[in-house]
Amino acid sequence: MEESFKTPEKEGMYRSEIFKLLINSIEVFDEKDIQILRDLFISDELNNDDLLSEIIE
Amino acid sequence: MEIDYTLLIKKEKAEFKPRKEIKNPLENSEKRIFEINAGNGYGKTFLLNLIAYALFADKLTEDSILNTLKERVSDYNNTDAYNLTYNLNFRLPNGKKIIFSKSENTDRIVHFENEAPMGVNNLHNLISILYDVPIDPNLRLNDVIKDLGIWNNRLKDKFVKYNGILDEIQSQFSNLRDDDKIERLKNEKNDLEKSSEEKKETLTKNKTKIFEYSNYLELEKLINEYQISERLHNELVRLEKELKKFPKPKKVDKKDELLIKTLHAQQNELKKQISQKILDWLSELTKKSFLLEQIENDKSRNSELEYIRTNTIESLIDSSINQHAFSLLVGKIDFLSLWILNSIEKEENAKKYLIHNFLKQLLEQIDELIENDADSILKVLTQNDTDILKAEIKNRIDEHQIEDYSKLKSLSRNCSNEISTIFSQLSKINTKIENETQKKGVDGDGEQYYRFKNLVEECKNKIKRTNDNISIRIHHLTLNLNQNEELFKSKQKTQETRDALKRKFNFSLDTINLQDEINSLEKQNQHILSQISSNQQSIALIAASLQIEEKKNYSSYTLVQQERIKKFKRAIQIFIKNFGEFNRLIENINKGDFNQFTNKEDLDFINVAGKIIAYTLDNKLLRSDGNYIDLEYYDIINKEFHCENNIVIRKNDIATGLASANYLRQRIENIEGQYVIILLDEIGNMSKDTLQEVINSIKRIESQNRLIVSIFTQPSSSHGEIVINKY
Repeated sequence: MEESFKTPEKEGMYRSEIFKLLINSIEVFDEKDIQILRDLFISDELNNDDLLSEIIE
Repeated sequence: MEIDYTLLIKKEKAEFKPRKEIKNPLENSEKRIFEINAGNGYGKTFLLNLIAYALFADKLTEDSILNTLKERVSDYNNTDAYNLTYNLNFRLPNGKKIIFSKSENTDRIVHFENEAPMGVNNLHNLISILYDVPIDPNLRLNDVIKDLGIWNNRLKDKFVKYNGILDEIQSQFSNLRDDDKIERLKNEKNDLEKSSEEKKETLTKNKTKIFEYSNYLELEKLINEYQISERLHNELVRLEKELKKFPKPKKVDKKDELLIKTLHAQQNELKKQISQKILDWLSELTKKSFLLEQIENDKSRNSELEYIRTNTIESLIDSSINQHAFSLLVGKIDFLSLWILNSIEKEENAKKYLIHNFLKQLLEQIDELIENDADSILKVLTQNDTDILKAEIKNRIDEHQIEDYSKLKSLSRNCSNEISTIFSQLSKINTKIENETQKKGVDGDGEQYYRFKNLVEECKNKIKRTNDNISIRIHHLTLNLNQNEELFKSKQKTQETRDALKRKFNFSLDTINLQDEINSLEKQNQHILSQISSNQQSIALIAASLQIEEKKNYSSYTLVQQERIKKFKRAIQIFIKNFGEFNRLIENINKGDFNQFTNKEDLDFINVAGKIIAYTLDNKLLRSDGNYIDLEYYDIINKEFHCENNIVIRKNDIATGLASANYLRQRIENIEGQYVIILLDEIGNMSKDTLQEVINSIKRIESQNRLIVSIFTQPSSSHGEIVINKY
């Protein structure tokens, strides 16, 4: 799936690669939760409410 | 194109203007691509800096311009060092003229001819500027590494913020109403209340037993008093008979007689004091079964104890004692006292005492903290409220109860000294009695007369005291048993009452065991009272906790949601920890210290860094045959380019010029924006063919009608000559 980075391209790529690296180091998350974590990595526009609703919904 | 400027370097007091050898060819040409060949000091690099400054290149992001160039350009903002004025204009491919100018003490201005000035954002939206120094791209590694550090810290900051948000939410969980906890607290409270009720019932039963046993004992004591009274009456009769045998001495007048009587009374009193001291010491020793058993099991010690218990006490009461007999007695007491003190010391150093003393001191220190309002530290250390902690310590003290030896120790230390002192007074009295009787001419019969007279009076006093005791006991029994006092008026009646009581209460215990039983019940009751008190404290604490808990609101998050928040928080914390680790790795890469990287996680990160470097090269590598090969990643540690089809090219095997062109081509071909200005400084390390590849890339931009101007510079091969090539 292609990401549309809000951050500059190279930094976006760094985040994407680091995410791939780190996702293996944490406890088991399902696909939906991995997508949430990916959003946390990539997006710079999440506010507190967005963050919470992403996690608890 | 028009190029005019004046640069004053204030401290050097030097002023620079464009050289006509550069200015004229540029201004008079219709071309847009220029190569300036000139020696140092001709202002070719300044021209590039000036155009970049006029285009606000110092406001570009680090993705678009090297930090070193950005710093170089922004340096002209330093008005202490420079005074720069300029007027530049370029014609866009659509024919419009754009003008860049700056006068002394004014800001930079950009506008189209006959139009209002435009802002920096609008300028950068319209015109992209590519300003670069095409040096060996491997040297760009430092910039990439620096970028990695910046990006990594941004990620870290972001996740620290997320962690803070979740932390705040999670902290609310403990302040939310917990029905399970309420239920648990209620159950605990009920259990404690039930336990207290049961204990109170036991307490009441014990009190009833104590009351019954005490009354029974009181009857026994009353009977005993009647017996003592009988014995004393018999004794009085005997003493009065003895007294009649001795005539009253005639030579002694009333006053002297009184003195001798007083001395005899004092003598008896001192004897009783000695006897009482020894009895106290023996009584205390008898209470300590642990020591008493050891004494009785040792032949020598037991014999000393028996001597003290029997012969000597009796002899002290009924007869005069001599110095030798007294010294023997004191020696035996000293012998046993020393052994007792040593045994107590050993016992008190045992583990049980250490625990008991430690807990008592701890309790005292906690009370001191509470007094000074400093007990909050205990809650931090023990995760418990101070009251709960104190109650727990008190329970542990109860479990580690120890024998109190303080009284026996004191008596053992002092007994022999005290009786010796009294004996010394007694000796003086004896001497006085002897002197007085001789002085007044009292003969042996006279002395006996006074002795028996004194004993008769003493016996009468004892009878009076016993009768008083009988009256008091009858009074108590009448009240306690709610019976007529006639039932206790004689020994026989009292015995009948006692027997009736025994039948009623169905006692099977004898008198001695009864007293033990009363003592045991009283001790048990004290313990029960302490437990009830502790229960009440706990009930009060639980009630307070319940009150707090019941006032809390229900959670706005379900348990599932709370678990999810905790789960994500754990992941975020792991990420934050890793970002810290990555910073350490980036620092090591920056230092060129590649020996540090041995474990898999570190090498994985290095691999990511290598991929980013490949990405900055557009994932393509220009080979010497002029063809591109796909670049997958750069191996920082081994300094190798990993390309398609498992081709690995060592960094040292790529010519610097090729590598430079490689980098520039990908940057030129990727540049976005409606119009473009390309400035390249110091392209001297490229061969003519390689440079042509770069020019071809610029030409492609020009063919798209996007190029405003492109200027690249290289040092002149022949000193002093300025050559401008146009493409």
